Amino acid sequence: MIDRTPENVLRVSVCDEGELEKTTSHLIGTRKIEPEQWITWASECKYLPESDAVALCATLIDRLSLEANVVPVSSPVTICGDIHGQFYDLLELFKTGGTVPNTKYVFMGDYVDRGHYSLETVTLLFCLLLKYPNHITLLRGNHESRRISNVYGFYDECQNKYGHGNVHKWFCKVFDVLPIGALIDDSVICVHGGLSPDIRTIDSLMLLDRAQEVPNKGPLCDIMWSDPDDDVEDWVISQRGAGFVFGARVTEEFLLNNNLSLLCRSHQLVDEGFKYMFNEKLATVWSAPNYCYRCGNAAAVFEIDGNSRSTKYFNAVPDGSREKPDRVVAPYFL
Amino acid sequence: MSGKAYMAPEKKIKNVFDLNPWYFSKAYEEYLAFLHRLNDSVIGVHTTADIRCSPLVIDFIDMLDSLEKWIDKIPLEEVSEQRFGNKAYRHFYERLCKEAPELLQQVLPAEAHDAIIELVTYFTESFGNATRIDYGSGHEANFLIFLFCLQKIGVFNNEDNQVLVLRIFNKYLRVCRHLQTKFKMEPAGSRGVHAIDDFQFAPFIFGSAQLIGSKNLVPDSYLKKTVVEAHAHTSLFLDCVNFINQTKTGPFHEHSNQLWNISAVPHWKKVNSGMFKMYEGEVLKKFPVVQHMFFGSLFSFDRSENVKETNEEDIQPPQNSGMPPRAPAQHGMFAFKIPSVANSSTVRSATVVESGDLRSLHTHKHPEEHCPPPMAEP
Repeated sequence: MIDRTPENVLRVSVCDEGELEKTTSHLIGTRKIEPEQWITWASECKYLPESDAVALCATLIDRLSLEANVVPVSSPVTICGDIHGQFYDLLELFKTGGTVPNTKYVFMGDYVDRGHYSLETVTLLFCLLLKYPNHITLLRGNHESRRISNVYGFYDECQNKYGHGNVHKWFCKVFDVLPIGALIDDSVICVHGGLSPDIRTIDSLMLLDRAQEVPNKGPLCDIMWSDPDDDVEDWVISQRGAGFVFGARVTEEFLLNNNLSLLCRSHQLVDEGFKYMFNEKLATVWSAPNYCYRCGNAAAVFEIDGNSRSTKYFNAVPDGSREKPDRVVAPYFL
Repeated sequence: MSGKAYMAPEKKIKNVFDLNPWYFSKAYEEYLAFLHRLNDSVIGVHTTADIRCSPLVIDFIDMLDSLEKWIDKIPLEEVSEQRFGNKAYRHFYERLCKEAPELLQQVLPAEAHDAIIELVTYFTESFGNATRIDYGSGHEANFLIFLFCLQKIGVFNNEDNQVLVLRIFNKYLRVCRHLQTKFKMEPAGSRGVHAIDDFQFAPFIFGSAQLIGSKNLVPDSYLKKTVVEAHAHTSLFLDCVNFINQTKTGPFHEHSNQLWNISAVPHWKKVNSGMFKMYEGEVLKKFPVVQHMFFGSLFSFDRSENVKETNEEDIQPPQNSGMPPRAPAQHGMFAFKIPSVANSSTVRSATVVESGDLRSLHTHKHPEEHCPPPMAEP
């Protein structure tokens, strides 16, 4: 029995709780939680029936609400960067790095938007999280938000595939409670974007109220939006419109203050899939090959086992090994 | 048009509540009618058809050609890990802003010179945004508005419609593609794989009109690369698909899912009418696109006289369920929606946006995608 006293439960009531619950509450509990069945479907690039998707989300929200902002993970572990709805490339990632639960994974966010299979991708990852909570950690990226996923594709996809926006709302409620950091062996910190001038210690990261839409500014926003830059000393406002650009000095200071050896993040495309900066104090991992179907880049996963670190690379799956969907004509053309 | 007071165009659509006046404006009505005129003029006409070009048109094309030459001369800036937006684009844009009034003065007849103050805004806005180094259907619309204004002041007349589409607009497309590829411009406000194309929209409208009545090409044909290659010169539609095939890799049904879906439509006529509805629904009625539009005396935000007097209720801001009064019937997945507002009641942070805080940060370039500016709160 999970202890759901108020102190233990994060505030999840981010959005129109009442309305959403009213319209879909009948779906919770009407379906059995069937992780094996769902994983089978999701692995075949299928998305779940609406009631199952809602049940999946509701269960994950209950569970993730009890997690800390920064979750401890012990090595050996494989760290992955942005996926962006590239479902078949995610399968390739699992081929490269090993399957769950044989390999323990930390994903650093940005599962949705841009690619064609955001829904299927996030469904598979959520199902794996449901079945193997100790073998997969999903962090929140800047695309795991309503404001961004409304614009960059995930919302449209849910709208098209379910015919309405309810499931998108449920997924966003899960996004609200995803942890924002992972701490590996008390030595490597993983976040989606980078540092914030308001955050000097892991402890202060722990104290943020994360159960909300990603704000436009402030530490929670910075963690998911910031980028490192060689030419910057400490902090410069980011031209992305959110977050900061941070330099080597503040990175080293943060690592030193918290007794860490490496800051691991994704958020920026690196052509080779993996890149060290700041004298190997910061690593960028990118796991979406041929990003946006045009960049022609490679992708990588980063393995940490105690003191040894290694990188595995993979490329986009060839066209032939992907399913071709049916054509669905938009109502404009009927 | 003599004696008309021209003015520097201004932005009028500041928040979603300004959308309704926009639907009722002279600009909206006249622009759409203009697009229909252009569209109808090229039905069944090949891009390479023999059409008469006046000296003025030739001058125009030469002027666009000179822009293209600038692009070649600008050296790229070294990029490290950025995938979008080479900063060298800013040199092009700077030069465009500086020289545009003079360029227009050179090509336009003397009686149109007074209007340059309005025209130049639309012209410079046509080639992308220098802050974000992006390009999208909004920029494309600016060029069409530029042509619309030229027709309104009598520089071009209705006989020129074919030439406007197949020569001038076509030339404009080349320039833009050159910009997009050379400077790796970002698709503006990209909806990724769910939009019809990363950059353009109008050529799909005009191009589908060109294909109406085609004996050997049905919509399904454009899924074949070789067919597209062989016929790209005949229609702007196929030309665009060809450009996609050249610039994107991976399966067509993934990276261009909308086009993949549309290929199942049986007739070009249906494609053409659908494109118009989609253009209204996805471009002209989308706040993120039209918030950047400029209005002046030619492209006027004034209420259209053809709109019947309505009672207060009709001028209410559009709600989720409320169809914009003049919208054509739309159903289902792309039915009119204003995502930001539809969700503003549901998103806690959206209600605490201090106006301008993020937008003011948008004054410099960005390396990748953006945090979209907060939708203006009423």
